[in-house]
Amino acid sequence: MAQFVKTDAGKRLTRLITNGYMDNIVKAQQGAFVVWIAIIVPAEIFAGFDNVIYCVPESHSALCAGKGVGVSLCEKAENLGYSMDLCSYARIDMGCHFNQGADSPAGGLPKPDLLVSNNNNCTLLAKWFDVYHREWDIPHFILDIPFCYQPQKQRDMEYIVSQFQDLIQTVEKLSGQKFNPEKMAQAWENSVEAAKHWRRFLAAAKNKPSGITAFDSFVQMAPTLTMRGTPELAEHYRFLADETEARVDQGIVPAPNEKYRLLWDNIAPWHQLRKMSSRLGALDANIIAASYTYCIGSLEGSLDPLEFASLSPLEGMARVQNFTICPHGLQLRGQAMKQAIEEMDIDGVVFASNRSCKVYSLMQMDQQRYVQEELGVPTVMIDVDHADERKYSEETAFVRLEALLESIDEARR
Amino acid sequence: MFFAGVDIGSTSTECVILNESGEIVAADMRPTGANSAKAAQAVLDSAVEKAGLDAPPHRIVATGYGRVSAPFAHKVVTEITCHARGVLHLFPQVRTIVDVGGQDSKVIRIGPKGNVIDFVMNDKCSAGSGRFLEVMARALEVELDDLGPLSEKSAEEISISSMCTVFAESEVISLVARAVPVEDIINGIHKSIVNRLASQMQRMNPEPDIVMTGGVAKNSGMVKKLSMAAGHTVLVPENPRMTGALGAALTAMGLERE
Ligand code: SF4
Repeated sequence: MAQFVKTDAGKRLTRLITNGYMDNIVKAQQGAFVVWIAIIVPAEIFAGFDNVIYCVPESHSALCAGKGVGVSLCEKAENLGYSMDLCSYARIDMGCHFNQGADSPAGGLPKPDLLVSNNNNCTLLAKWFDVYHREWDIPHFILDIPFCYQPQKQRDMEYIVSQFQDLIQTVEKLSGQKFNPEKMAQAWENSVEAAKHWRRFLAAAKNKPSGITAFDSFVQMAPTLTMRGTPELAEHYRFLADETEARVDQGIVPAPNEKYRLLWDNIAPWHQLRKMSSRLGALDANIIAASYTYCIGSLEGSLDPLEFASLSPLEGMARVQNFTICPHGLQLRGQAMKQAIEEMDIDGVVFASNRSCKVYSLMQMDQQRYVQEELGVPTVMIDVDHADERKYSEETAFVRLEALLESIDEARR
Repeated sequence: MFFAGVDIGSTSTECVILNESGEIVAADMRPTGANSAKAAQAVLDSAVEKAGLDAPPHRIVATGYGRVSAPFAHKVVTEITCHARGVLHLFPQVRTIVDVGGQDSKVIRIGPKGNVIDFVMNDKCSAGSGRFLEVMARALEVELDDLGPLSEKSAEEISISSMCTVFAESEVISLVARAVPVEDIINGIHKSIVNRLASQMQRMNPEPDIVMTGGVAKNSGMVKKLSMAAGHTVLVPENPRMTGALGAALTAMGLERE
């Protein structure tokens, strides 16, 4: 049976996140220039300005879903006429912000002065930000990120860097503030340092039994999105990795009787974290890692961390644009998964087909066949929606998950 | 020593009791209704009575959607594993199982050693399941058991385009209004379900023997169509609803040996 002990890093995280949201509200009231960004937009750039803050609607939507208000906010957006088939992050966000921050555990996000999105994950996101652009008459800057079938090419990197330079000028012009490249470089160093400790934390999954559950890493990911470039983030991940390593040394692990080591493919099911991990824990199964959490700081097509030493801060940030899973072709996804399965000695893979995030889910059937047939590892596909609980059925998912465990048992006989 | 398997499905609950030699000494079923725990207990009690036992079976395994609502069970096992075991017991050569139950349909691939190597289930939509047929039978005002024989009288196969049970129902009603013969409509309904099942099956690279289980396997029209789609004769157990419970009872026997 899994143990749920609140770790010190867990308590710290709650404090950090709460303070982060509160700080933003206060700073906005005091006149800071507010930017809303899509995840992976290089937040370090904003650290180069004296009084520019940023908010991440996607992360805020995940928080809402995790706190149980995802469905009510989705319904608010649907009442405004937005289709139920849109990504639930978008629906939660619009449901919340077209109702003055309704239901948000963080009181909503302060109204933006600039919107910055990108198309490296999906095109829906740019459309979603466009709604605010139209409704509130706020400028919208879209970063165009090429899809990658292989590791990022030099020419793509240069193309992205040139757009960052445009972005810097745009913020200078709109905020009336002067950009300081040294402050940005410092923020970039903090991010690189944070990624190093994050990897150390994730590596605890290699231990047998695993030192972490993927559910721990899902929640601990939040500050990467909302506090990028800050020294507090680097410090928090150092603390998290140190504490996790110390616990492993003392034999304190989440599933001491671990019988099944599983890998999760897709975004976290925010509304199910607790329920799913405890129900799996009762079966001595642990989802020890997820393709989702490795998207911070891994080379395309592998789990290996990228070395930034030879890159300038803007080049490093351009490189990061291709870190996430969604802009990766099938081959890169397959390679990374193979490495994860081998390095972490995975017994089975859970492909969570996400009703909201088509880009993440689209290639899963081929990927599943590859893992099953080429790598000989049992897999299962379940239906989820990362933030809209109405599109998830616990019993339907669990009959499949339990069948996966039974087939792992059979294969061991 | 006796062993019981109880399969608590969305529509019906079945129980099979085996003796030490693995022979079926009693089998029973009843509608699950609103209270699955009650149905499970009742079907177990009546099977125990039928078998003439004076004590509860030695080991009991529960399976099906309601498997967690059987407090008397010594173990719960998913219906995927139980169906596979049950069918394998009856058809040792089986490689592909197509099970169409009340709310879901699944295709299970069995490896040469009799182990489950893969499976697919329909997602949250009930189109193509037993419930779909029930709704259509009601719309046509025919008995569920008559669907098979009626469809075999059809001269023409019309097509039902809606996947959704509710939309398909109105499509059927409009066909009735246009005086399309009932047999042809039923034939069309069967085709639409089989098309769905066939695509599920193709994902599993089906190999013979192919066995169909679940209540829908009693429908001769469906079985014929599925055979045509698969390119192999689809076999059906004598009691296609009981394979899950049988597999559970066999698992219960296995528990004793562990
Ligand atoms: S569809 Fe996927 S990538 Fe796009 S916003 Fe939603 S979760 Fe993000």
